[in-house]
Amino acid sequence: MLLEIAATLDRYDDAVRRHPQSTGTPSIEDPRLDLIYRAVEMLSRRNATQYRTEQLLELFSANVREPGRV
Amino acid sequence: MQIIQPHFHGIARTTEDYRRMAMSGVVAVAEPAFWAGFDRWYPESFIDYFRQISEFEPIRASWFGIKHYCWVGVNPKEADNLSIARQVISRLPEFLQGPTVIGVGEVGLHKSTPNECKIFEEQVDLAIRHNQLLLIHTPHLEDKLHGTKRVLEILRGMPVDPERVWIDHVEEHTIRMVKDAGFWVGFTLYPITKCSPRRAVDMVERYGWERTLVNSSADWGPSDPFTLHECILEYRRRGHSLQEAIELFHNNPARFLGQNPKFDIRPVVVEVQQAASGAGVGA
Repeated sequence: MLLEIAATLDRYDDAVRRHPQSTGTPSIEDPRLDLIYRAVEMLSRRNATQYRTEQLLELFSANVREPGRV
Repeated sequence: MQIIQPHFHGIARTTEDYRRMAMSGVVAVAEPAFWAGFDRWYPESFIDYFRQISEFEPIRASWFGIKHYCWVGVNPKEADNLSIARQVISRLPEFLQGPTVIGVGEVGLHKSTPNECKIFEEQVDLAIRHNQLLLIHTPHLEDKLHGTKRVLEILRGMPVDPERVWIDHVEEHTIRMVKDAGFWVGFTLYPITKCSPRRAVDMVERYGWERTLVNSSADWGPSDPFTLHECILEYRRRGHSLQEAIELFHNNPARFLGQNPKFDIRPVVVEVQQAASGAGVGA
């Protein structure tokens, strides 16, 4: 499970490096990527005061807003 | 062990799935009306779909001794088209008379647009007026939290009996608010996305099995009717008794769906027989 997350992040970095207009450095400005790193950081805290699954789902809920919703 | 699969999209499955489900303990399924993967252009397409799930699927399931029930309604993904949705809603009462139709569903919200909210309210109102059970879909992924809150907000303003309403697809961040409001909750299990069998058991252990329904949806997407069985296996593996498993996977659906008298499967109790004294093998 953890290996899959590591491999996904590596795959992203490799894809950025392979891109013709690449500067060779993975962008940190993609908000989706930023969200993933925030999630990983959140899971690395040892003393969770709230269930981690709940925290993770709330993190992803709070950071995406669709137009047209009420 | 006898199992009831309370949310199952039979039209997306093969006959072989029905056969294997029957062989592994499934005695009944309930099929909610849902999205076909594309938006239908004509109200008549919905009508034929309702005929399929209320007339043909019960026959196919019966080949293997499975009882098939269904729900009718306009799913939230197609509720944005007010004209079509309202034409379909006007035809729902005739289907609610069908011998295997047990309620209005799955209705609810997808992106929580103003039109979706209107159509949802109109279908809740229809269920109330026709004294029907209600099955409510909540959105997936990043839309779930907002959409579930919005569903609860709408229901608060309407005279619904929470005991007769099942709010489906809850996850860790939405289960508490739905249970606290007195509604039934549903976990929908998938092999990859949404809720896994293990997470469902985690939530049952945290919040109890009362007013809880577990299902595997088994639709046309990446899904598997046997994620329900995986969940039963995980539940038993953690030491829960056979009777507790029966309460969750058979008796709870029987209790909720049985509020409609057309659903005639009753809760069961496991009885261990005492060995007769002096009884031996052979004559």
